[in-house]
Order: sequence, then C-alpha cells, then structure tokens
Amino acid sequence: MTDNDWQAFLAQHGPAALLYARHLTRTLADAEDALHDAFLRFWPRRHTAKDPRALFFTCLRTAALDQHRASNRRRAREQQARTDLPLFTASTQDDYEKRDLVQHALQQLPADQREVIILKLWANLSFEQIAQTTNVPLNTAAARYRYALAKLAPLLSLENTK
Amino acid sequence: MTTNNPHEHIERTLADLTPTPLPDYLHTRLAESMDNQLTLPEKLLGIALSLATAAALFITISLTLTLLNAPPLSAPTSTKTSAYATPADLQTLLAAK
Repeated sequence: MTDNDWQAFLAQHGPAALLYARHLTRTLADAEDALHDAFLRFWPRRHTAKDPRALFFTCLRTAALDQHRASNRRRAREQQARTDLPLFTASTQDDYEKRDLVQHALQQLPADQREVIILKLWANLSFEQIAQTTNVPLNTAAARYRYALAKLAPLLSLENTK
Repeated sequence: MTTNNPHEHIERTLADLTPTPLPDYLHTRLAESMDNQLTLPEKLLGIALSLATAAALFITISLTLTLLNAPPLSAPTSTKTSAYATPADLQTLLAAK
C-alpha cells in the first residue's frame, strides 16, 4: 500500500463522498467524521470487495447513519454549527446562482431520492451499485432516481428560463 | 443513438456542478490516520526482525568464541613431553622418602 494509492482514490471519490455524507448527517463535522471513519474501515478491505467503489459508499452510508443517530442527542446544540461550506464549487456569478438553486432544490427532495441522485450524478455509481449501497432492489433505486428528476424539473426550470 | 430521456437537461444541469473538494484539514487528518495504520505493523515487523538479527548475531559470536578457546583435538593435554617419569622425578620421589 502506498500513499499515492489512497490519495488518488480519495482525490477521485472524496468530493462526491463528502457531498453524500453531508446529505446523510446534520453537520459538516459529522460528515467529515463519517468520511474519515468509513475510509479507514474501507481501505484495508478494498481488495476483498467485488466492487470496491460500492463498498466505499456502503461503508460511508453506514458511518454517516451512525453519526446521524448519535447526533440526534445533541441536535439542538449543534443546529447553529451547520456550516456555510458550500456543497459545490462555483467561480462565476452564474455558477453561484446555479449552485444555490441546485442546493435548494436538493433540499426539497425526500432523503431516499436525494441520495440516489447524489450517488448517480456525482459519485457516478451505476444503479446496481446504488442498489447495493443503499440496500434496496435495483428497480427501486432506478425508480427513486426517476421520481427525483421529475421533482427537480420544475424546481430547476427557473434557471432554464433565465 | 438517440435517447428519449425527458430529464436529460436536468441531469446535465446537476452533473455540471462539481462537489466541493475535501478541506485540507480533513485530508491532513486522514493522512495522519493512514500513516498510523501503516506504521504500526511495520514497527512490529521491524522489532521482530531486530530481535531475530540480534539473536542470530549472539549465537554466531558465542560459537566463534567457544571454538577459538577450545583446545585443538590433537594438542597434548599436559605440558610434559613424556608420560613416563624422568630421572629427576625419581630423584625427587626418593628424596621425599
């Protein structure tokens, strides 16, 4: 195992993983903890997995849900700790507007649909991998994705009419 | 190949956005944790190898010293050149009587 191996993996999948973890947890700190723990759990086991990427996101989901449950107890205390670190990068004014629009639209989705959207579009997982990660049948994962897009369409149409 | 995906533009709009990279401090934290994970077995292996090397060296030196100190098999066990008493020995014995 070399430094470059895990750093390359993290450079490729880290941003989408953090995005996913942030949608499953209450705070950025929880998401970071989940990502940290999940990665340490995943990395030594990666060679034993049939699909290492799906295993990574499965480990992340488990760690994030654990964090989420733990943080329920200190929810009120940490509400104000929600970070202003944006979910997406932006460099132009258009980017900023689009980013805000998408962030807001994503918040309108039910959690199970939102996670499928994130895993499909930003983590680039197949429906089979998503089904494995979220522990649902493949058809359910695909249906959630379609429902999510249908809900997002009117929410994002503002941008298209600009 | 044409696709009949009514939400293609929505997918493109979303996928065009790039998730925020990991903060530097998280990367540093992960690097430290990974280092710790890597060095522990290596440290244990290093200690085991050092002990084995030290033991082998000790045995080699001990054997060498033992062989160097041991008298050669063909060497006489006495400083006397003969096992028989010399006339001087007899004289001494007689004088003692």
